[in-house]
Amino acid sequence: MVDKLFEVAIVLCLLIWMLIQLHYFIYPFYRSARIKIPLAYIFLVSAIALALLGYIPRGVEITASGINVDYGIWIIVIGFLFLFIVGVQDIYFLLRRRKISPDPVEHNQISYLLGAIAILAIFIPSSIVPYGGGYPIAHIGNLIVACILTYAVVAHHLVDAHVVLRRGLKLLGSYGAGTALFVLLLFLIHLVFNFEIDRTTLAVALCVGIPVIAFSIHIVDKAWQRKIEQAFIGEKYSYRKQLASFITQIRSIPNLKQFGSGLISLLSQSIDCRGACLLLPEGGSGDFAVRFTYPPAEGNPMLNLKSRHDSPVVEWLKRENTILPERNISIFPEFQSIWQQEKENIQSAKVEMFIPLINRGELVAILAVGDKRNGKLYTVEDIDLLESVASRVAASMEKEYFHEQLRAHDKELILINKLTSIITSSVSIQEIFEGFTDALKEVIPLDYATIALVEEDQLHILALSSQVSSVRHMGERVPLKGTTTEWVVEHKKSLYEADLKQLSRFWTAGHYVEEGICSITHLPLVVKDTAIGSLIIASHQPNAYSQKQIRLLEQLAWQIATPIENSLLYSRAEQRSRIDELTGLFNRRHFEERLKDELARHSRHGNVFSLFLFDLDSFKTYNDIYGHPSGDKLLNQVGRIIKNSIRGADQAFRYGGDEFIAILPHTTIDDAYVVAERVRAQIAVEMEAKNIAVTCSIGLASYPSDGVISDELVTTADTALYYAKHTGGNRVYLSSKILSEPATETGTFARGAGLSAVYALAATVDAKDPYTYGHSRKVNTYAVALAETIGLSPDDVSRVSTAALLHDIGKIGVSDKVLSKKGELSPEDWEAIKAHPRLGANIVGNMPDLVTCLGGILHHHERWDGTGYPEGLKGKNIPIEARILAIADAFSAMTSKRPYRNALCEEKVMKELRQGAGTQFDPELVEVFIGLVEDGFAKKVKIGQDPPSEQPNPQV
Amino acid sequence: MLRPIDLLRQGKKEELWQMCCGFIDLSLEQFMVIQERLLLEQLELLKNCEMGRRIMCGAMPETVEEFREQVPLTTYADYLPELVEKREDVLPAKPAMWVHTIGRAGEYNFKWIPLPQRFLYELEKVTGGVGLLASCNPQGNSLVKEHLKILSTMGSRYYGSGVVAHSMQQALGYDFLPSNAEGMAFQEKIETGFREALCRGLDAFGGLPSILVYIGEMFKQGAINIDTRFLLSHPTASARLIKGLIKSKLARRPMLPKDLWSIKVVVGGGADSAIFQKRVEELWGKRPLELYGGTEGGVYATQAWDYEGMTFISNLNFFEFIPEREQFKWQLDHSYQPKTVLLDEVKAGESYEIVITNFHGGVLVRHRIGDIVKITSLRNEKLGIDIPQMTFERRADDLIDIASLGRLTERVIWEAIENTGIPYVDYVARKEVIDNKPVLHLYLELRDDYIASEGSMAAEIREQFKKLDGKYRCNFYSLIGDMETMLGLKPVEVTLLPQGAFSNYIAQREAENADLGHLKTPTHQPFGQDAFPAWSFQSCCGSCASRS
Repeated sequence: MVDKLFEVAIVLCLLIWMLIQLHYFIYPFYRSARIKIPLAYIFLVSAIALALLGYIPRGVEITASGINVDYGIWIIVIGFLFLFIVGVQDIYFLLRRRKISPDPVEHNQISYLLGAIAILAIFIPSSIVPYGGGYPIAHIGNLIVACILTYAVVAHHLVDAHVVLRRGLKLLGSYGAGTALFVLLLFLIHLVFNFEIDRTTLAVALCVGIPVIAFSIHIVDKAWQRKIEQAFIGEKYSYRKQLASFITQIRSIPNLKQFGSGLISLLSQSIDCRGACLLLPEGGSGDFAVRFTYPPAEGNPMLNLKSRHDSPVVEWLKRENTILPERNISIFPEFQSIWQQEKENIQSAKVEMFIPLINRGELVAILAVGDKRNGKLYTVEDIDLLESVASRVAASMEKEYFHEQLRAHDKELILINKLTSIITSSVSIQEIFEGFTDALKEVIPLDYATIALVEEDQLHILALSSQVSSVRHMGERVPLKGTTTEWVVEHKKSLYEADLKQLSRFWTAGHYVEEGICSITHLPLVVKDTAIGSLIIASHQPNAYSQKQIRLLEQLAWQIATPIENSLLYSRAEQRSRIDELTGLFNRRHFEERLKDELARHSRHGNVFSLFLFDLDSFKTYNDIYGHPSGDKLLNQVGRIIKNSIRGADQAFRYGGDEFIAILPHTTIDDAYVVAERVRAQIAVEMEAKNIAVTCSIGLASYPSDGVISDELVTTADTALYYAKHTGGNRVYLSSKILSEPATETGTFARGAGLSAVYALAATVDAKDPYTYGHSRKVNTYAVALAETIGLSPDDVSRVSTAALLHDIGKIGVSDKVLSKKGELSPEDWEAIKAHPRLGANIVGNMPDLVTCLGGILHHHERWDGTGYPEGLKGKNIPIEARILAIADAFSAMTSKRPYRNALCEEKVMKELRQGAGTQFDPELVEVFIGLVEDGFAKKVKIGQDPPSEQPNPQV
Repeated sequence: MLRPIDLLRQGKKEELWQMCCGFIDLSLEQFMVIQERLLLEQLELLKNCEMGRRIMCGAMPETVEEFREQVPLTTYADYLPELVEKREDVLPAKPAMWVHTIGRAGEYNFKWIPLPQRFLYELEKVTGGVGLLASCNPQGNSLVKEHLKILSTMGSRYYGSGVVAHSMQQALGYDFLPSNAEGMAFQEKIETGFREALCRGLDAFGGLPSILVYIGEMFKQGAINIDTRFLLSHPTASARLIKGLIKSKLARRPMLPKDLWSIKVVVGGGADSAIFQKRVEELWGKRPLELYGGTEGGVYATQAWDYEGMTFISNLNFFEFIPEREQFKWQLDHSYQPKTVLLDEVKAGESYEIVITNFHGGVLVRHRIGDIVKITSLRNEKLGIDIPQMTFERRADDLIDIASLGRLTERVIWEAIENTGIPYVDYVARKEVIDNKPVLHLYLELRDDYIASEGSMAAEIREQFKKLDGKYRCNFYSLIGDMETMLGLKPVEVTLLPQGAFSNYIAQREAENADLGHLKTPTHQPFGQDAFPAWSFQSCCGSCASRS
């Protein structure tokens, strides 16, 4: 009877123990915190105590129909207390967890646990009630619970069966061996001492034996556990040991690289996964990118894994601080926002789960784990290991990460300082840009770099560095519209195009692709909130730049924008200081610098160079008549003509007033003549086209033949210029020609004080008659040519030239009506006209400098046969200059349009001249002149062309 | 890639619910995060394609705000001719299929819309969710399982509605009845489907509610032929029929479909759904779950198991809403760009024109689909749904839609009246609901002393609509048969106005100092348009008549 009572007490205590164990089994499903003090065992201790005191059960009665147990009140008290304190708590928290859990797996697991509790709640009380004891109700209940839990383990991974088995074996082994040892010892002692085994001896043996068993278990436990683990886990066991050791020595790991690669390698091998990676935040953006992978091979698909800072995966891990199985990404609605690319990356990387590394509420890193090598699912033990490692290394990881960030930041600052100091080392960006890009190449891939600045609607390539033949070149200007820089400047944001071959948004991309460029980043150069252009960095490699590198470049662009603008401002100021604003040519100061440089350079290398000085003819008169603003405008036009007429290597300068000078490096005097002649002709043509009676005279000099110092060269050119002027202007005069000609009485030409007055007078005459526009200048040209051809001395040529310019000066006294009359002239009109040579002679006769021209002016209407006017001179009695003027005057008149007729063609003019030879003109001179015309002289000097008839007549 | 059917087959119903119906548990904030993030992904796709750059006028927005500021609102005409020419090279993503609507788009017959693979994948989850919600009992527990039998009443999968049905079938593994409906006419399809349903059972049913009623009425009136030989050779069918007969006799009424089958899922949607819902329930024993969608963007919103307002779907389209006042400004001046609000800015009780931008590589950007919706509440208190609830209110454009079957433009109506040859002064066309049935009501003033009855006029105009269907595909009658008789519809009503009604109305408006543009009432008045209500016109005519 006592034995039965004892057995029932044991059964009841075991039942309570089982319920307590069930509670501790359920507890982790609703609360993650570890149990510090297992208070529920109070119920077991109380039950044992009450059992020992005989309160549980109160009695057992064996009858014919079976055993009747009087459980007593205490078992009911303990049962109810357990139910209301522990059971209700478990059910409440499980239900709550089930409601709030977003994880369907967990949801299902909890459902099965609740089912098991419900079965126990029904079957255990049923076995105690009267009539229930007669049937194995409790056993049936336990069997159902076992089935439910087994199904939950198999189908829903309620617990890891392997772990249960392993731990079970370990416990069984330890405690089994201990118990066996105890029994063996007891048996041996019993044999030796031959005592009776009763309750007392048993109690004594237990009191002695339990500590002995515990002690022996303590001794063999670790070794036994190791053996079990090795037998079940295999080589993973050693990795786990190494991992444990790695984590304990974590503080001694010197840098993040060793930390990350060591951790990921040991962890991956410990759980036997195919691959794993550790994602760390990229500086600044907060996006997570892979830093360490296992295996650390190049082809590891996990290398492409990235997660934006706003990715739902990152948000979820941050918020939930628990493992995220990849499967849930396809299931949970909040992952609907995941991008296709992110999803594909996860799938191609074969990520099985993400584990957050969180320290002080901040997501430090993400551990992504691939599938298991054996293709099976991860065990609960694996997951426990991952969670435990993640929580233990998070703080150290964060610390190392920050250290590395600081170091990287320092390096970036040093680099930016270095690059900025390169940029600021010179005001000429072009000069130091190569050095800048060379330094930049040390940290990023770079095959092409340029600084493009926005100038109105154009893009100015300020600096360029390219490893390939670039379609762009420095200083080039391209339309801004539709370029990437336009977008970048407008939005003040950088733009990275990772692979232009795959995708190009702007028309400029075509050029880059032609150059073999794949990745290109455009970075705005912003100064005082205004984008002035972009820094363009490109590489042949696709996807060449990481976010981190782009941020570095952004910082760099931000740093160098101001120095670039300063350099630009300086270069503009410098340019302005060298430029004559009116003409757009370089100014005199720059000329002097350049001349010195050229002299030094050419003397060093023994080369020749030339320069020519030129001066506008009749410019003063133009200025006086039309005013200075028009004069300035004219100078501007002349500046443009000069700039367009000289060669690329030549440089033109405004020397002062209406004088210009040009340096022609590596140019002989003959080649320089061609250039100078082109400039002169171009000015003559364009001025004539605009009805402006301004031409230019040019004096040429060459180094070293005309001088070896600057003053000498300029003086020589100046002298040649005055020869050109003196001989009628609109011509190019070589310095060598001056030397070859005999010296005059004065030794050289001096600038006549009244010469400008001559031009003014000539202009006044021309102004009177629109149809005689430029007439005196043309006559001057023809007459000078004829005079030179027949070999007159320079003084005579000069006299002819002046007389030619002033031959019609007497028309000042003729009425405008007569001069512009279209019909036939009356005898009175003729008289007025015939008076003009004498009137002209009277005017000129009052000017001492022009007295020598009187003959030409007075007699230019005399005829060879003596029928001319005003004095009827004949043959060679007519002064030579007058005979020359007569032919030039007639030629000019016939080749010009008149109110009463059109201009005659050249053939007709020649015929007329021949017909007049010996009657009107000196026959010898006519022949010479015809020879000149036939040589194309008239065409060369582009004279003899009439202005359009509808043109007004602002003639000079 | 995990699909709903995989979870259904694995018996993981909890996960299936999360995948397909989890959107109803989203907070409004989460909803907006999904919208914003998917829009940003879509913007990247749009920036990288020719059509996207053209539609966005070269803008490259990087935030939702920039997108709404820089990108103009669009209509289908903005996508022409590329979409009707099916130019895949200009699209943001390669389409897996092209679907089209019924209705003209500018110079072209149909609106063709490309659907990329990922869009279809997401649509599958959404339609799976609709199926699950439709199968819920009042407690919200879904009773769905694989191989539910569904009567095939939808269009082909190249129509918007067909895509939704096909997608739902893919998601939940429905079996269509008849199993091979290829090439069958509507009537034949229904009869064959019914025969198979008698043998195999019928669990689900979907389509336009008007068609659901039509089919129910066909059955009720014995218009669906099931011959005796078939019943004799199929004892299951006979047994089911006998069961139905007993039930109907006990209820003392004709046999209805609900006597034969216990339908688990009924899904419906389209204009006038609300009008037909009750009759569907009477005939089929289950109220149809209403969904709001279109060819342009799949499914926009769906009801839950409380059959109240519809909840917006977060992951297929980006939603913007044009407030009525902005829409009115646009109506006065079509060059005006109406401002939009987002879902977290809408107000309960107000109506909005809906604007969508497709996600997942779809092509439509800030597209005005032409629907006015009403926000009934900012959340569903009963079911704890935190997303604003809506109902479809009316069309925003000039379409008059009768039970989703006839889509009549102003031109079609004018041409139908003209073709009758009846001399008239003017008319007003207006959609009205008479005796709980949608009707096109024409108010006609006949010329001089021409005498005609309203009934004959209505009949003549109906005939003309039938003839014009071939030309305009307005689809008023031709789709499935004699809808008028079955549904008891009288889709055209004519009211003859007294002589001088229009001129008197204009005189009255002049006396009220109405401006020139508003002297005459609009000829075409889609349902719900209040700007120039026909009743005022009628009252004016009435007063004119009484004075005369």
